[in-house]
Amino acid sequence: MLSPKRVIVDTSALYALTSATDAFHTQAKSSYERLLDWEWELCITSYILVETSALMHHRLGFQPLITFMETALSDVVRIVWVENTIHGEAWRRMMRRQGRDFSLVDWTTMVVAEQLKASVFTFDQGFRHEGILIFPH
Amino acid sequence: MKEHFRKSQTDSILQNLVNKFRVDPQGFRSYLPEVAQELEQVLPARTKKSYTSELTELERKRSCESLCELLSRKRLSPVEAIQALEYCATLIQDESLPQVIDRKTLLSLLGQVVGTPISKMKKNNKIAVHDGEIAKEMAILRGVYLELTWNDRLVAISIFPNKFKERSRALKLVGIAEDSASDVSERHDAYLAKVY
Repeated sequence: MLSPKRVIVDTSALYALTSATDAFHTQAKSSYERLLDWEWELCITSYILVETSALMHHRLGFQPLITFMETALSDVVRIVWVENTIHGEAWRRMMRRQGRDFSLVDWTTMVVAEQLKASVFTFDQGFRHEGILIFPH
Repeated sequence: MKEHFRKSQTDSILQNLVNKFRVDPQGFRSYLPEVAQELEQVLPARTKKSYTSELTELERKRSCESLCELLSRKRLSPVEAIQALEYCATLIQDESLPQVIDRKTLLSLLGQVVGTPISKMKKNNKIAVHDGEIAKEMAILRGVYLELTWNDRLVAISIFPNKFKERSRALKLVGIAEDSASDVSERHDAYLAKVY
């Protein structure tokens, strides 16, 4: 078996998948189906999990949040628990930029993506400018 | 209190952990997620031999054109359906399969080669296609694997119907809610600022 490719699914992709009225919904759905079919390893960091949960709970309600949590904690998704070295490196990068361009959650995603040699499933083009491979291309 | 180990003992413990991780990374991760995360950073990401290669622009163009030409025919013979699947395999590995080649198309091609609709299969199955040495195996649809030679000739198709359910479960999330705004995914940081 070819080694599975890894992808970190970020908040923009998760929200676009869940909300049928989002401008990126169709694109997110077809990309997600491909990732599932080609059996890429889908990863979510614990920070993305918290960020997405807060956004979904506030804007979409509790029931969609339950479905999201069930998916996130299922066997098709791997949660990468952010520990202090990852957090520290993300914070160092954020400090270097004086808090511009990205949130701490985004910096954490980039650090994890580099460590796991993973792409990021996102609609935030900023990741590409930082040299991170993004999906869809 | 700090434990005192001899170097040979720590080497042996470490080697055992590495071996366990290599044999069953998923199982290892479920017991020791922090250790698994550290090992992933130290060990090469792709320990298995991989033949995955990026196509040149010309190869990509030719593969796409040949595939589209085959799919434009009204009917495909089994040999042509196999050829089409081989082009799909090459383009999937290159992450350049055109969006128009959707799941329905792939299911139709697989059905023609296997002789039965894939969705109706209930038991694990392996269908031989060509003779050849298997160099790699890749997922074309969740639970459907192509076994290929080094140059993407199709040797066999393996089907594991229990994996179809995984896909359905993962798709439960899709489109389950509606937001009055359509730009939340793109501007989620700004919307989050309103939450807190």
